[in-house]
Amino acid sequence: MTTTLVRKAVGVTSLALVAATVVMGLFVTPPDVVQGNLARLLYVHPPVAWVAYLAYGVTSIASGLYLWRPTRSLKWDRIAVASAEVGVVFTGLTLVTGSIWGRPAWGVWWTWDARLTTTAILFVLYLGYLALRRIPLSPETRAKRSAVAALIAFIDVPIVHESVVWWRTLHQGATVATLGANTKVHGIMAWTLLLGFIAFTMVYIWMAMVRYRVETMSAEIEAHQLEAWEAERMAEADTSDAAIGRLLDPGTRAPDEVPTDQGVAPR
Amino acid sequence: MNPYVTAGYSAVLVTLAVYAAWLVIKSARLRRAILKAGSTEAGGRA
Amino acid sequence: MLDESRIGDLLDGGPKPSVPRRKKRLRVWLPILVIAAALGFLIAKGLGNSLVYFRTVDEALAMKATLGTSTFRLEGVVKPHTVTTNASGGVDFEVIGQDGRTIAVHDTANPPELFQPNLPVVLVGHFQGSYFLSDQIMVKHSANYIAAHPNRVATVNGKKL
Repeated sequence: MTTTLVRKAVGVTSLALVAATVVMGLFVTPPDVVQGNLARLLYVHPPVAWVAYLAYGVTSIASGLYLWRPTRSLKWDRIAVASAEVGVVFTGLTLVTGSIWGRPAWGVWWTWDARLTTTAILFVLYLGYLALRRIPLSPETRAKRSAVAALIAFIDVPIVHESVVWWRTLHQGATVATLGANTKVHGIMAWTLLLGFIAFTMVYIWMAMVRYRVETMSAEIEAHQLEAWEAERMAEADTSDAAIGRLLDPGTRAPDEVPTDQGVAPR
Repeated sequence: MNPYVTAGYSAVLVTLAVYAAWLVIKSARLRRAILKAGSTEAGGRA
Repeated sequence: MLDESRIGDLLDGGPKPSVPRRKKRLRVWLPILVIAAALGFLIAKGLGNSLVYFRTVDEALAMKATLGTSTFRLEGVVKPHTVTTNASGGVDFEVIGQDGRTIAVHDTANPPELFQPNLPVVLVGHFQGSYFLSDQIMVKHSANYIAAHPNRVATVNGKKL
């Protein structure tokens, strides 16, 4: 009951915060001195990318907790997949918004610099994680293998983040991580950026919660169906036992066998 | 409004709205399925 | 997660005719194969392009002999007062490096909207004599975001690009 209430509260809050970000980003903040109105993409592109990192971070922690014996529980596996799927949606949005920004600002939709390439790899790695989960296996085996895959995929996250430092890129350096050093984001623009980060993080929390619920209910139904199937098999086994009994002792016949008997009866 | 800005914001809002709607529908369907399974079980036993 | 078809079965009563096993297996393994291929492609692209994404003006001048007329990406800052439009629909200008040396650029493509003096650019092209012949200009903007009209509201006097 409380969980439902929390989920609803998070949902409503995230909706309101996203609306506020859109209003601030599109109408209240001033255009940038170099980029003009294009700079408005600043309030969505970095926050969306941050959520992808966050989602994969949560997937990794949950996967680690599954692999560690004292905390092993399928609950962690469900959290891991819920977060990874939301992460994939946000990584996709990072690529799309980046591309839309790149066309007018850089002059190209795409270029093979380190930041873009490693982000595309990140997207494909976690798509792969989701695809691997579709291999039919027992929940425990699947959880174990997926957890290992998730931890391997996470290696790319710090590489994506540091790519603008380690290699020469067309992409700008990190705006937020270096804030206060040489980088400047003007007052209200910085506040709107912060608002964007909070808003999309709330959206992530809500989506991951609902996705987790979907995963839990799926597991519940699957367990229920397995139970029903077991029961059916048991019932089947009963009838076949009876049939063997009848073969061994032709004297006793079940009433439903009578019509067949009549059919072959000599005239 | 700059068309690229409009496109960027729309891409984010539309994608998130579609995914959110999918999540809500899926979760509602599963809930109904669980309730139904529970009720048939109870009915079978009665 | 549960298949949509199986939830449908539960809600609408009896199961629908199930998908043949081979088709089911294809549905699992085909995406994995496609993803593996995409991953291989991206890593190859990354190793081929990203590690040395561009050469600076200074490096390009130092390596001019070895570079010959091979295509590479050149990075430099657009030197003010050197930009003129040319007959091939592009712009002629000079890029300046860290130590103040310059390379003259003849560009044949339409420059992007943000192209302007004092901004760093990445050019795709090759040396042709003393010139750098470019067929693509990419603008490498900074991580600074500074209000153009700090005292005005964007929608009233926003600078449109």
